[in-house]
Order: sequence, then structure tokens, then C-alpha cells
Amino acid sequence: MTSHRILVVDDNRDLAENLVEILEDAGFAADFFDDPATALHAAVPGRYGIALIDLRMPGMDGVELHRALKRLDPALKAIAMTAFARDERVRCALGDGMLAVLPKPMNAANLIIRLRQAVAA
Amino acid sequence: MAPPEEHLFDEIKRYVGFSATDEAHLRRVGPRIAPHAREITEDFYRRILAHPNARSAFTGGDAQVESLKCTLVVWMRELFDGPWDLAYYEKRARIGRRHVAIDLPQQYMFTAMSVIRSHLVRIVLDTADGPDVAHGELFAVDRVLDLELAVMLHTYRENSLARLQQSERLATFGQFAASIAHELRNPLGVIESSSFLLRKRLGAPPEPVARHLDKIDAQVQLSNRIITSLLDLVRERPSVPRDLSARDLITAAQDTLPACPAALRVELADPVPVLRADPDQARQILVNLLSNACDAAGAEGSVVVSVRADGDAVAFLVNDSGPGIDPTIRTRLFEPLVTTKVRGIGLGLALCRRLAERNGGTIALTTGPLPGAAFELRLPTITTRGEGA
Repeated sequence: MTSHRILVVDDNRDLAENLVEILEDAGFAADFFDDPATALHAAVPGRYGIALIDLRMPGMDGVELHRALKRLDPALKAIAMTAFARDERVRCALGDGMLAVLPKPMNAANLIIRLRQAVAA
Repeated sequence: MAPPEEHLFDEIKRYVGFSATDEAHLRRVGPRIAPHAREITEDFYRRILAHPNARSAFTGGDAQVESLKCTLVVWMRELFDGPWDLAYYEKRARIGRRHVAIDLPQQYMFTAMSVIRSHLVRIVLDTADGPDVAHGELFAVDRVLDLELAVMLHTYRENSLARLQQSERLATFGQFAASIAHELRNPLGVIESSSFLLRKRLGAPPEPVARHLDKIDAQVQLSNRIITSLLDLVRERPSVPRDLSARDLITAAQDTLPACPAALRVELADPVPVLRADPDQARQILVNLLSNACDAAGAEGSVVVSVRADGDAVAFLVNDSGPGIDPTIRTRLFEPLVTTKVRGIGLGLALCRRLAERNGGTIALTTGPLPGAAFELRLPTITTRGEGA
């Protein structure tokens, strides 16, 4: 069976924690990481169904992390988050097949709708 | 020890080959020019004013031109008297900067100088003690006029460098403001999501708690709107003009407008004017103007928007019954960070002006039938390229 567990990666730890709490309230299982390298280490194939990834992070940005995750687990779906709507990475993210790019600050209700759509997709 | 840096004027003199011999020649020529100074001046201004583009630089009318004629007579006397030292350079540069300040195009300064040159050459030839003397004197006149041209051109260069620095400073400020604005969205995201979670955890909180949560949410939204306005202000999104019906534009603006407590009336000219502007940007200008007018008018007041075609523009008058604009900030009203509102940050009107200009339009404070503030937004009916468009 496909996992619906959500991988949340954002270098803003407070936001990552809040997102997991919001997702758990909505009935999802989720883990957060504030460091892309640790997230990559944790993402064994099949563990996560969807990744929710911030595009701008120190060390490895969201686009790079997504590419690395896809190499590990080609079935993983992904949604990006960004405070920089005009970031070049937005185009890269969509070009790489991420399902959506959500602008920050994110509306919680909208986030849940997008994740449900991603699960159904 | 390093030699002292050569002053620009000394460098120009060296380059032109301006020597003590030239100075002696000029001092001899001066008294022969003086009787003709007035006639040269009259011809000089007659020719300049014959060019509409050059004439438009003189906004002060006849009085300004008369005063400039006096200045030119003195200028000519000094041209032959010297001393051609740094104080001379400073005086000449001041005159040059005056040309720059009135926006006199460089080519008119150049051709005007050649009017003077031909008069001086003619007088020198007519009055010299033989061709050999005339030869030396003519060289001296040429060289001193070349010095003048070099100084004048330098003042234009000073000005373009200063403008470049100004626009670079603005660009740097813009990037700085944009990066702060973006960074603020991260903490706002945490505040918003924490408030969302708190609300859920608390279920139906007692009234004061709910009130504080509402305040947090409202302030987060306000902060986010400020960030969006700031980003709109500093980034140069190109305008994509389209033909727009004034009626559609006002309807779109009203749809976006947060609830207006005042009575809002729209008066459209018949036939409904059509303008050409970027739909989003035009709507944003009207939303800002309407939202200011509604705030100022309050629940008891009223707001009137009237639209008419006026020449090659469509004029929108947004007028309210509020207290009007404080006279002390009238002249700075469109500058960023100037506000009359207790809770405004003063980006709305600055943004309106930027957007209007980007669409080849204008926005100005005016008067209207209602006693409060009145703004006139003019947008073109045909595509014009505004600054930054």
C-alpha cells in the first residue's frame, strides 16, 4: 500500500513543527526536519508519500533536495513552499514535477486541500 | 611623496594648450570686444529662443532672459580679463550647472557657443593690428572657448554621474527592502500557523482570548499586505496594457475593495470611456484610492468616483467627505512612508503614483464637490511608454 506519510522540510523549525501539528490534526501522519541532509537520510524509499519542502534553505535548497529525494524514491510526490514568489527556483520546482508551489505565509485550510488533492492524484 | 593631484581645470588647460601667451592676447582683445558685448548678447538669445526646445528650458519668461543677458555680458568680460584660475573655473562651472538645472540640452549649449565664437572671430579680424597679430589672437579665443566648452560638458557629466549614483542607491535600497520583506514572511508564517493551532486547541475560547486571537490574525494579514505593497513598490513588474472599459475597471476595483463603510457613488460619463493600461495595476491604483477615501469618509460619510474622457486620457476623480489632507504633508503626499493614517505606513499613494507612471498616467491631489480629499488619476487612452514600463 502506498504511504500517505508526509515529510516536512523547512529550516524554520517553528514553522515545520506547526505544519506537522496542523497536518496531524487533519488526519495525516507527518515528520518534520529542519535540515535537508537529515531529511534525505530519513527518507528511505516507501516511507513517505508526499514531501512538503521549503525552496530556500541553507546548504541544500528545496529543488536540490527534491531531486535527491526523487532519485531515492521515484514515486514520492512533492509540494514546495516559498516566501519568495519570484524566486527562479519556483520555475525549477514546477519543471521538476513538484505538484504546486505554495506562497508563505500559508493558509492552513488551503494547505490541507492541496495535500488531499496530492494524495488523490 | 606623491605629487598633488592635478585639478581638472589645470588638466584641461594643459590639454587645450592654454598658455601665458594666450592670456596676454585675450587681455589685449578684451577692450575691443567690450563695445560689442550687448549686440552679441542680443543675437545670442535671439537665436536660442528661436528654437522651441531650447526656449522651453527658460520657464521664467522675459525677466529671466533679461537677467541672463546681463550674466552673459559679465561672462564675456571675464572671458578676456581672467585670471583663468580655479576661482574662474568654479564660476564657470556654476553657470554650467545652471544649464543642467534648467535641463538645457547639451547641443544647444554647444551651438550657442559657436554663435559667440563667430562674433568674436569677426570682431578680432576687424580690429586686429595686422594678420600676424590676428592669428595669435584667434588661437587664444579658440582655446579659451574650448576651455569653456570643456567645463560646461564636465558639469553635464557631473550631473549624469550623480543621477546614476542616485538610481543605484535606489536600486540597492529596493533590493534591501525586498529581502527584508521576504524574510519577514517566514516569522509571519509561524505566527499565523500558531494562531491557527491555538484557535483549534482552545475550541470555543472565552471572549477576551478570542478577541486577542482575532487581533493576531488581523495584524498578520495587515503585515502581509504591507509586505506585498512594499514588494510591489520596489520591483519593476512591467505593465502589460490592454483596452479597458472604465466601468469594468471600477467594478473590478470595488470587488477587491474591503467593505466600504461610507456611501459610495460612481458617476460614469456616457459613453463609458475606454482606457489603455495594465488591468491589474490600474485596478490596484483604484483600490488604494477608494480604500483611502472610504477610510477617510467613515460610516457617516460619502465617496464619489467620477470618470470622464479628457483629451487623450481618462480622468478618474476619487473624492470623499472626510477631513481632507493635512496641509503640512500635501507636497510630500506621494513619497513613500508619508501617511495621514494612524495605522498606515504610507506606501499606498507612493505605489499608486509609481503604477500610474508605469502606465503612462499621472495622479495628483485636486479638489472636488465633496469637502475632503480629492485625487485625480489620469490614464491614457492610447499606449504611451511610461517610465520603467
